Amino acid sequence: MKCGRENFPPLKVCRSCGSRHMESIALPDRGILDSYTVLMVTASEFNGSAPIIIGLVRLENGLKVIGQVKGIRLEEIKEGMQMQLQVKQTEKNTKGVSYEFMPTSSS
Amino acid sequence: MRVYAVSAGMVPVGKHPELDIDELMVRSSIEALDKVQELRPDRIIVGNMFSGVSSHQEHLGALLASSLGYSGIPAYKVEASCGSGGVSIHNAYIAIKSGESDAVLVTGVEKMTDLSIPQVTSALVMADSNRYTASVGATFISLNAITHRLYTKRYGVEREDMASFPVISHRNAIHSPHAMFHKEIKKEDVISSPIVSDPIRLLDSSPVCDGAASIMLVSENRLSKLPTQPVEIIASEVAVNLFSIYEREDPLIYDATRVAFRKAMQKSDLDIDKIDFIELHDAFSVTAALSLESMGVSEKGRAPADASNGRFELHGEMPINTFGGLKARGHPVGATGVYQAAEAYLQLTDAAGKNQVNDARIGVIHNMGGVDTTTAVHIMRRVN
Repeated sequence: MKCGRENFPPLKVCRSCGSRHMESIALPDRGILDSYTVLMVTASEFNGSAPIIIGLVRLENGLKVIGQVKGIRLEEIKEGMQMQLQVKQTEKNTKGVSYEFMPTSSS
Repeated sequence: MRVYAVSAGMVPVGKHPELDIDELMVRSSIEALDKVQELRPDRIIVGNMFSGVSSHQEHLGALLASSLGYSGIPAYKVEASCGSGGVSIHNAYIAIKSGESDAVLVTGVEKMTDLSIPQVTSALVMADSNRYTASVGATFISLNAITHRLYTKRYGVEREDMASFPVISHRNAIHSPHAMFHKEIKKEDVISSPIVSDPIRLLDSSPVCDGAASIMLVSENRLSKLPTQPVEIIASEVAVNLFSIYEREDPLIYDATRVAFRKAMQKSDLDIDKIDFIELHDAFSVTAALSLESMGVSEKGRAPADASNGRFELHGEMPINTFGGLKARGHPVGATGVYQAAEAYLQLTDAAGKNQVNDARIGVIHNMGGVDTTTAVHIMRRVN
């Protein structure tokens, strides 16, 4: 990594400087809920799990991640909430990780 | 080399359990071909998103050519999710522009209604990242719903104004022979329809449907002696954005739309006030708003109010979706861009019937795959 630009998802080529020398960094585990949706109709892989909250969270380093928001009642969710990122093992994609968020106790 | 559209064919959008994917595309293709019987296509391009999932059928280019009785010519499928139709036309345009082809049949096709709603939902989200969005449970609608919420919050947009887009599309579809819906709706109907992915409601969303549309494009070499009226394609631009909304600095800027539209306008040497109508990719109400704003047709945050004030009505200042758009004509995803071109062809040859835009000379067609991940913009001009 030459220019220091961080990116999500992980890339093999830097979008800023074109460098191929990329290193892996851990995602910050906290961020702010920029937007969300409560979805009532799921894909067949998630049959039976609606309603699901899908959130767009801006992490502390500015990167954005999409994940399910758990541990909160539907009527309590709102933009601007502090969120904690949890990287979960899953069988629903080939790389075996999925992103979930929980509201932090302070929010 | 100049490029012209010389005929079009459309299967009415809807549920077609009686037609398989091959029969659908053959039907619209024959309709377009029969209007110009003197022409034999030297290339066939099929736009389609997920025939492998819906019909266990790929290799649509060769299949269509074979069904129409053609061999020995290039024939292939082009895929760019919901933008497959527009990108197919772009491929035909560059084939003619380069001098390699003189007559190209472009057919867009999609068969969605054989699938259950969860299966369609699963197929549509293939337009976005399997690894980072579909795998967490996000659906294609949910990604648009996230932008809808961001948008209305940032600009203080009224829910009633957002509901204007489906109202306009439904009104324009009433006399549209190939539209799926022929029913006027009110803003209150949109706002009280069931939630699909909050804040997107059922009537903010384009429907699941089947369809096929075709358009025949030729070079200037083949223009003489044709029985139909030509329409010139004066610009064809495709651009991609960063793949998914979470990767973009501002998810409310449709950068692919912005760039493709700007380049198309520059190449045509046109200003926005010269455009007579836009066939817009209104997959959802928010998609219509952000597309118009990213083109610069409306100021940021203003497109819904412009819609509410009548600016985009059939006889308004800038008509959109003159045959019902994705919302009411229907959105058979991979076919949509070709329906739009066929509709623009009708407008620019005075064949739009009750939907005719007065003195239409310049039409823009705007077709996107994903959440503005790939966008194709074409500009079509009446030939006198």
